[in-house]
This record gives sequence, structure tokens and C-alpha cells, in this order.
Amino acid sequence: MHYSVYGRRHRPFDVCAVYGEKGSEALVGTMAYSGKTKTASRTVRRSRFKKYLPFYLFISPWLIVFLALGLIPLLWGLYLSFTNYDGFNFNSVQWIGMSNYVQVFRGGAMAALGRTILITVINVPLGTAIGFMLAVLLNTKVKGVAIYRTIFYLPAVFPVVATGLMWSAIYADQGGMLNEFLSIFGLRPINWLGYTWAPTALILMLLWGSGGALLIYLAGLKGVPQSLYESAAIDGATPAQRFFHVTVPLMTPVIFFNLVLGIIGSLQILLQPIIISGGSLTTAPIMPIYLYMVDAWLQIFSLGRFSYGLAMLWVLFVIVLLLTLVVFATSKYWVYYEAPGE
Amino acid sequence: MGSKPSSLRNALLVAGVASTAGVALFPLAVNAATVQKHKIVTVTMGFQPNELTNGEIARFEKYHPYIRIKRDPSATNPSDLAAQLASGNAPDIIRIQGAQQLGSYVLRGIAKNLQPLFNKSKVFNQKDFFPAVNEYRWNGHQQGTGPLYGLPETWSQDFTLWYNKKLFRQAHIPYLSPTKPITWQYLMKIAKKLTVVKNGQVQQYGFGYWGGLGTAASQSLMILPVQEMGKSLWSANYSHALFSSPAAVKVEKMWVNAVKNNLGPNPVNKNPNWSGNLFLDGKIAIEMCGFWFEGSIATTPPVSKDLKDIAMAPTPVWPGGKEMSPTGAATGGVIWSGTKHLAQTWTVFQYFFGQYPEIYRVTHGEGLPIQKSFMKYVPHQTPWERAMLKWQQQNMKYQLPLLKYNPYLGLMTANTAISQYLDPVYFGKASLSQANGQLNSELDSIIRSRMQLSKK
Repeated sequence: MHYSVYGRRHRPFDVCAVYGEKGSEALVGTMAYSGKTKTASRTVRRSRFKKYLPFYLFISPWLIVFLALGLIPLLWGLYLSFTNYDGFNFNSVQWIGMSNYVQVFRGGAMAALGRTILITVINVPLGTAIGFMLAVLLNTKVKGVAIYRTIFYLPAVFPVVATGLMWSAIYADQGGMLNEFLSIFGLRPINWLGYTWAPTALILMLLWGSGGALLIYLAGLKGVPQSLYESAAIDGATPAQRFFHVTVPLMTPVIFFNLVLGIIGSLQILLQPIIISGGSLTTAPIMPIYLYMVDAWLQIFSLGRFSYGLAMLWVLFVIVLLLTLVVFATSKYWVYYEAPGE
Repeated sequence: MGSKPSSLRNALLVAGVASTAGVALFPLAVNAATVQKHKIVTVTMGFQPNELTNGEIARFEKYHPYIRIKRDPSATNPSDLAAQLASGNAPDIIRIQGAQQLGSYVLRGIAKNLQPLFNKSKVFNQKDFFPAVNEYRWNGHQQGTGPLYGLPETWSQDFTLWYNKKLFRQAHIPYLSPTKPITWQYLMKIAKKLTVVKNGQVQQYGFGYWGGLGTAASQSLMILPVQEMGKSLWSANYSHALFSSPAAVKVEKMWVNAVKNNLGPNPVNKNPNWSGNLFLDGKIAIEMCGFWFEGSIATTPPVSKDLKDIAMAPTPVWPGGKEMSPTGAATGGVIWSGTKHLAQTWTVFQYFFGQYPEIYRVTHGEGLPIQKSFMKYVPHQTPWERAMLKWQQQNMKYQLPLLKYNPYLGLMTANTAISQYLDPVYFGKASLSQANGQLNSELDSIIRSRMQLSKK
């Protein structure tokens, strides 16, 4: 028997499934007895309307907010990306076709995208691994585990601006905590935010927040049946074997979920490079940490190229979509789903 | 603008003056406000709470029962303001840095021509205005002449030098002349001597700049020396950036060396503290800052404890160049062209820029008044305040000419592009000629598109 996520698979036209057994009998009976098809279809529509009305009423607050503050502004932004909008000429915008999109692929945006992908390639696997390992450690029964969980989850609670300012003070060349610490050992200060070290400094800062996915990992770990560990132990599996052959496979859906979110989040890094650079929100960070979203932000709010910045954001949307599809396509090779009945 | 330090002396002085002014101007204000009888109108001001306090709003509303003032600090954020303008909800009075932004606001049709209102005003005497107010004049092509579009809150000659005599004595450097400006080259030379480095860590900086991009090239710190040489950073009609010109390159080389020698907080050697605070803390020997810094110096220890060691010196000059000491900000306001309550907005405008709040700002050492007759409110109670005031009055004659900011670039564009393309030069990753080529090309492209938009 094949199951869908909602239970037994529906037949192509299953009146019973839609109207219930009693409703369908009445409906079919009415149609056969009177032969008045118009009345029947009106009854179907009314019945369908009554059935789905509560659903739409319940989701209407979200739907209205999504349409008003999500979909419509997004589509409006898409339209503006084909115009010469500069933030102030709202009443006289002109359609300029694909020229903003052509500029995205010709200008410095692609270099910024390359740096962003490089940071993502390093940051996401490391962050995923650290987050998962932390969750495994914090899933053990040790004294004070709740305190440890709180401490490791704390970075996820801090606002990104506060975190950025804190790391900026740590990395500062003059009077920075890290260099002050090095000076205790007579070591010369390092320019952590210079060309050589800035990407490393940024990645370290991002990894500091790896505990953000802790709750999801912990929830996943709690869902791994204890019986599997017991069976494996009876079969003579070592703790390492139990980890690699029981924990990891059963956690792959959770890892996959965090991986997809991690990639999307990493491609959208914006405030961290700007804030640790120590300038204002309109000051460009140095080139090694001048990432794609930073470029889009500065193009819009500093250089006043609103429509070009919007084109950059739509290009990023397509790239994120494609990367997500690629990751989804690979998932069949490494993500293990437990199917009912198997 | 600095914060508003409180002192009994200043409070009493302001209270006395303002109550007199308030009562005297009450009939005028009520006349303007009662244009629409019994209909309460709200005027929105895009200013910060430290610029327009609740007390100042309450005082106004007490005398103007038909006008309410709503303060909207979010409008000081350019992105928020852009959204407000796009949706037709901009504040009636918009805060701008006149020196750098007026042109772009007039060209985009955002700022309203206020000259007819100034001509009828009984609050403002235009003959009483300092020349720095001309930052808010626009003649259709450039600032300085033409009708008035707004006013500064206060103003300062933003490139004058505050210096710490104690640190000069320690470095065996003679004090600066109060009247004869030093050259930029001499400034760099003594700043290097005043910079103290221990184990690679800077213990004391020689020279800080309060704004822009720190002790490095920025729009203002490029335009000023270039203009002193009699040249411009822009072509005649502002259509091209001239960062590759010999004059600009000379200035850029000076700033590249300043960064390499770490004379002050800069893009390579960042310091989490604002340079003004470092000066107040005795960790910067020379701070380039206007008279608006006086209030903070007078009230912030440790410098406030030894005020006799703090002095002012004229704006540096390029060798053989013209001596000038203009303003670099002239932060103030314009009236939005889309305002629906011009009469009421003008009443609020006159109050904010010409009455009690203006007196409060000047009395608290936040800058120079826009009207010469208000110079009497500049702090002058202590010998140090009197000495600073005397020095400032001597330096007034250099407030013109105004700096030539590009009206198509506005406040942030040039500095963002400068930081993007000159940072690699500071780090030794690009040559100056490479950077200038990219910088000119980037700025020209932005100028071109904005020129096209402004023609429509």
C-alpha cells in the first residue's frame, strides 16, 4: 500500500473524500432523481464554500499580511528593477528594460557574489558540523546541561547589531580585546580587519553563532528511537558506530533542513561585515568582506541606485532558488527518510 | 551637534531670554496659527529628540493652541525618508546637512523655495544672517546665491583645529598660532611627532577628524585642500569627478601617508571610539572640529578640568593657497515642497530656527548662531569661554567661500565610493591611478544618471 503524507491516496475523483460518505450519497441521489444539474452544481459550490470557509477565515490574517506586506511589495520591487527609480523620482520613473540586470552581470556585483559563495562554502559546512556536534554533546545527561544549552544558544538571541559591535571591539586594531590579549605575551598586534585576516575574522564571528540551530538539532535527537541504540548495542556496536550508523542517518533530514537554511542565510549576510568594519552603515567594508548583499545595500542606500540594487536582489533570489534546488536534488543520495509501513 | 549639557547658568539665561522672546512673539504666532480657526494642524519635524526636545515642543504648543508638533526621528535616516517621500508622507520640515545636501534636495524638487516667506518674516532679519547661511541658497546651478530654501540649526567652521597644549608640551612642539594658519604639511609633520606608539599599539594619536572616514581622504577633506589650491574636485558644471587631477592626487598622497603613519583612527587601523571622544579623553592631540565642539569640551572630563590647555587654531592651508575656513555641514532644515500646511509649518520653522530652540542651542555651545545679533548668547561666562569666543570672532572672516560639494551626489555617495576605491590603496592592494580611474568612472556614472533625472 502506498501512503501519501496526508494518509490514503485519493482517487482521481473521489466524491466521498470531498463531501463525506453521507454527503456524497445525498448529492448523487439528488442528481439522479431530479436531473436538475444547475441545482446540483449550486449545491456543490455552496457545500464546498461552507467546507472551506473556516480554513480561509483562519488563514486570512496571515494571507492579508502576506499579500499586503510580502507579495505585492515583492512584485512592486520587481517592476522597479526594470526602471530608473533612484529613491526620490517616484512620480517620474521610466521603464529601462533589462539594463539594470545587464549591469549586474557586468559590474562588480559578480566579484562580490564570488566572495559571498566562498564564505558560504566555508561557513555553512563548518557551522552545520559545529551546531550538530554541540547538540550531540548537549543531548547527553550531564549535570548542569540546561546551563550549557543556554550558553551555547545565547548567540542566537543577541541582535546582530550588538553582536557585530561586540566583535568589532574584539577585533579592533587599536585597543581591541584580542590584540590586548596578545600583547600580554609580548606579541605584536594583528590587523584582524585588514585584507589578510578579515575573511577569517568574519567566518569566526559567524561560527560563534553556530548554536543557533541547536534547538532544532536537539528536537531531532530526541526523536531518534532509543530502541535503535539498544538494538545496536546488543549487536555489539561501539559508541562511534552507533553515532555514525544510527544517529547521523536518522538526523539527516534535520541536517538537510539546516543546510538549506544555512545556505540561504549565508548568501544574505549583510550587517556583520559592515558593523565589524567599524564604519557607519553607509561605509563600504574592505574588499575581502565586501559581499553581495553589502554591495546591494550600498548601491541602494549610499549610491542611490535603487533600481539597480533591486535587480541585484532579484538575481540573488534566482541564485538562491537554483542552489536550493541543487541541494534538494542531491538529498536523495544522502538524506534518509523513515517511511511508514517500510 | 553635540549633546545638551545642563547647567544652572545656561538654564536661567535661556529661560529669561526665551520668556521675553516668547511673550513678544506670541501675537505674531497666534496670527499665523489662526488661519484656519479651531482646526488643529500637526506639523511633522524629521529631527532627533536632542535637537528638538519635548520641552521645546511643549513651549511652542502652549503659545500656539492650533498647532501640534510631531517629531519623527526616523526621517533622519535617508532610507526611511526616501520611503516617506515616495509615499507622500515626508515630514513638513526635513533635516539636511545644508552644505552637502541642499543642491540635491532642490534639484529633486523636495525643498521648497522659502524666499517669499523670508521676505515677509518678522522673526528673521535677512541682513542679520551670517554668510554661512548662504549654504541654503540655490541659484539654479549652484549654492551660495539665489533664493533661500532653508536654514542651519547652528553652524561652525568645521575644519578649525582644537588642540591639547599639554600633549604639545610633552612632545616639545610649539603651540599653534591663533591667527596664522599652519600648512597641511606641517600639520602632518607635527601629528606624526604627537603620535605615540608602544608595542605596535597607538597610545596617543596626533590628529583626528570628527567626521567622514576618519584621518583619511573623504569628500570634505579632499574638496577643502583642492579648493585652497584654487582648483575644484568637479568639472565646471559638476558633470565629472576630477580625482585624477594633479591637485587631487597631491591631496590624496597626503592622506595615504597619513593612514600609513597612523596619525589618527583610519580605515586601516580602526579604533572603536569616535575621535571626538578620544580628544576629550586626552588621547588625540589635535582634533579637526568646529566651534560646536565647545560645549562638550567645557563639560567633559578630563579635558574640562584643564581648559586652559585646550585652544583653537585656524583651518590648515595648502602652501601658497587661499586661506579659508568654511562650514562642512550646516545641519538644518528645509520645508518639504509637498507640505499641506505651509502657514503652520512656517510658524514652526520660525520658532525652531529663530526663537527659543535656537537660543538654547547657542547658549549651550552647540555651534554659532545663524543671526549675528544672537552672538551675545554664545557662552562667555568664564575666561576660557571668552577666549574661545574672541578667537572665533577673529576667525569669522574666513567663512567664505563655501566648499563646492557636488549637488548630484548628496551626502553619502562620494564618501561611500571613496572608501570603496581608496581602501585598497591604503592596504597596498591598488595604485592611486587605478583607484582614481575607478572612482571617477563610478561617480561620473551616478552623476550622469542624476543629471538626466533632474532635467525631467
